[in-house]
Amino acid sequence: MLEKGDYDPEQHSNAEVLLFLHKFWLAFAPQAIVLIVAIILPFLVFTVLVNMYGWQAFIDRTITTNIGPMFAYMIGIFAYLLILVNVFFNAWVTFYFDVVIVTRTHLITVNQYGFFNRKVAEQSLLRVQDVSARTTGFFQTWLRYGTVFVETAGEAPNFIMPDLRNSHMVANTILKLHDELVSTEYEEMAIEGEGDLRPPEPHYMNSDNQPVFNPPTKPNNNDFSNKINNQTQDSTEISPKKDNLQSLKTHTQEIEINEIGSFEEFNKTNAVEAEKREAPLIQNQQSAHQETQQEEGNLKDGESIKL
Amino acid sequence: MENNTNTFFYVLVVIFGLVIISYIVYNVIALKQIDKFAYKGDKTRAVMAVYIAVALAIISLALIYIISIF
Repeated sequence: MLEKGDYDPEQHSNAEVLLFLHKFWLAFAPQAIVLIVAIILPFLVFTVLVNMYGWQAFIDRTITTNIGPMFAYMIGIFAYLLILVNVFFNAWVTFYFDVVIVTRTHLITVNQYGFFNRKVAEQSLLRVQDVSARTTGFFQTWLRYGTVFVETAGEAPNFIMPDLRNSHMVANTILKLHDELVSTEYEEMAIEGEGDLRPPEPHYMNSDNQPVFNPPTKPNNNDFSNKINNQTQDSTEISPKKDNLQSLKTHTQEIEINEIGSFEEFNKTNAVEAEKREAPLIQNQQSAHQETQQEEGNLKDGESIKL
Repeated sequence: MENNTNTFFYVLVVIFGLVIISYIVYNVIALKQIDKFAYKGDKTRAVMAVYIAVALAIISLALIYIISIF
């Protein structure tokens, strides 16, 4: 037997199942009524025949004139009842195994058609575009069940889930889960450096109660490297992924450039830093050249060259 | 007249026997398949048990009836 998380013997999903919905029982009622009447009908006919011919006609083989038709009738009744019970069970299986499963990330519908025909459709909640619920008629309104429609993006088929109890609640749940999933997806994209696609939130409201985005900052070249380090530390705290440290540094540097708002100032700072870095190299080159000159005898003692 | 009736009787019994055998084979396969799709704690096995009981009752009654005619 399957766990409720396993909607198909071939697929074992580990996702948490939030809703597991069968069709509402009233959807099976019309078929059940027809089948019950069909089962009762031959017994009514049997009663009429017994009244007409008597019991003896059904069981006495010596009455040669009646044995053929009566025996055929009885065998027919048994065959008919067996087939009818089978049809009844088939209809119940079709009704009961039509299942809708909602997990945190997916929407799964299982459609059963008879004993040997089954369709399992799975759709990511990210692709959901529109969800609606419809209740029509007296019984659906009174007993609060109806059809849920889920429209999906692209060429994927839309989901129609008929006869679900509390259809509006189901539609709301699917929509909420979709929103949660989209929000989580945006956050993950932002952490991975692909950019947050959500509209920016204002830093604060000004005196006119207007939102203020990106408040101006004063550039300070002396504190530039410290700022980068501080920003990097802050960013690392947000993102637990240490592999992304280098990309975060670059990212932070870009942010800093934008905040300062001037490439010239940034270039100046870079030039000073480059000079500091290269100073020891230049000294080494000078001393190496001096030694070579001394070896060749071109320089006198105490004389030095400048590159 | 009696010979014709007996032939008809035996033909019906044979046809009914074949129907019963194919019915049982079909349903055993179907029930196995349905049991695979049943979820823990649902009503599937209970309904299957009722279905099997009713089908067996009808088959038994038919057999009793046929035997009583012989």
